[in-house]
Amino acid sequence: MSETLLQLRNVGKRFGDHVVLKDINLDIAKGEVVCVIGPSGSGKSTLLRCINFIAPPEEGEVIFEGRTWKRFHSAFNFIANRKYEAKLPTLRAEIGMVFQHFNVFPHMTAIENVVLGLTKVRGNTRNVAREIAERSLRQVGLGDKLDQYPEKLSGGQKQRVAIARALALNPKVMLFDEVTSALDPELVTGILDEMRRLASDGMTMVVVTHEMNFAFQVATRIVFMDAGRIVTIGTPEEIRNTTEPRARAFLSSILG
Amino acid sequence: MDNSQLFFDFAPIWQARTLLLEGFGIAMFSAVAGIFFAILLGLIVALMRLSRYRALRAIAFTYTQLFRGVPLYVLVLWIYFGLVYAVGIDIPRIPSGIIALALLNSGYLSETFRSGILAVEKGQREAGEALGLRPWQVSRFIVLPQAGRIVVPPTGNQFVDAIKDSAILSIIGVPELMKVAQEQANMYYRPFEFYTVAGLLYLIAVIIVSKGISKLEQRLARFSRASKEASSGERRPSEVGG
Repeated sequence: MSETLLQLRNVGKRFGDHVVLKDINLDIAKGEVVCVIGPSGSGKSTLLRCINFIAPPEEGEVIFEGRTWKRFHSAFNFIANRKYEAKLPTLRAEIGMVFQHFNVFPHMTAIENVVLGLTKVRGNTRNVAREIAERSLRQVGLGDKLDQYPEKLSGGQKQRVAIARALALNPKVMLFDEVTSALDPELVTGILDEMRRLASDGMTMVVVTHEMNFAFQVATRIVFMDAGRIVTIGTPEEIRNTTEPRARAFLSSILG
Repeated sequence: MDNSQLFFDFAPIWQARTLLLEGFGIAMFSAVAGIFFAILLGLIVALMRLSRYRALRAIAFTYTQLFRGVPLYVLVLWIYFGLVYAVGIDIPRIPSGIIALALLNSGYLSETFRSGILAVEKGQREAGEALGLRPWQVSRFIVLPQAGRIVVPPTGNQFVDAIKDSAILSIIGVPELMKVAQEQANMYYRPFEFYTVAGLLYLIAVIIVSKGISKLEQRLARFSRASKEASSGERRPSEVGG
């Protein structure tokens, strides 16, 4: 296995008294496709959002390319926390994320959606940014929709804009948060194919999904979560044959 | 037949037309300048109210309560007369009036802007942050442009209110439309005619502004439709889990 890109160490998160994530440990190597499965409410999305600190974990740390990211607790670390927060954008710039509800910017055309990060985060000039954005949108099959506003696009097309927006920044890892759950059934395959293409290009991916076929075909490893903990991790083959009772129950309820 | 015998006589209006139009101009200028500064102040106060720092939130909250709670009449007198006697700050009439209009309207607008910013779907900020944009860039390029579209209609209403409220500036002698109308009405002893015309001029201004606002609204409609669709998606229970 190649070098480790991303590590989660003892990551924990709570909303008030409700523990959402507890003691999450996970190492992800370059080029891996890790699919996270589990019943709803098990903390899959929160786990993903901890990786880029969109939902900052209260406990534990995230190590990305050897650099440690963590939040300090006590009020004495107020300044340290401000410093760490100020640097978060540099971490996030290396991590692409695609959301369940697309979250494309409705006041910008498809190409403007992609250009924004290229100019403001990567510091490209407008012309260079437009070139990269156009290439990125062509790659996801939206070459003819560059100047459309999201309102005029289908769900699948919006999700493609979101994928192009993330990929244009040339991230080192892509996070996918149930990206097909809000799509009409006939549009799901197209997006999954897009993700398959990315995986075969060697992109490191962490994918929260309910699409079991996709997970078992594409994943290098599958993480099964329940009640805020990682219950078991293994190759698709290992997970298919797992004897862990909760994983068994979940899989048989879904796969029948 | 003597003019003063007529029941209605609009001839004095024609004679005072220059004065009336000047007054109308000053009224419009005060309202526009007042709402302009109110938008700036309102935006600052709205951002303060949404700040992570409790002290800023407290200051902003007090500001909003204060200027929404004081009648414009009091505010105008307080600034023009009060400040001179208390601390020796002597502000001329028109600037005093503009400041009063700005403060009062900024109190209301800060609330409007705050709810407009909160109405932008949460996922928009998250998507911006996930790209690696800094928090101020997320506000500047993603949240505020969308909030701006949401607050166009209520801000337009506030502008309309400011136009009508500018009449109150007559109490400190700002030579705006109402002040002119009062003076001329007394001079010609024709209050009905002068106040009718003054009222009509306010009405015309309000109608024109309202038309302009709804034009603007229509042009922005495509975006607001898009954001409504997105926010209805946000409420899906499936998103909570996972």
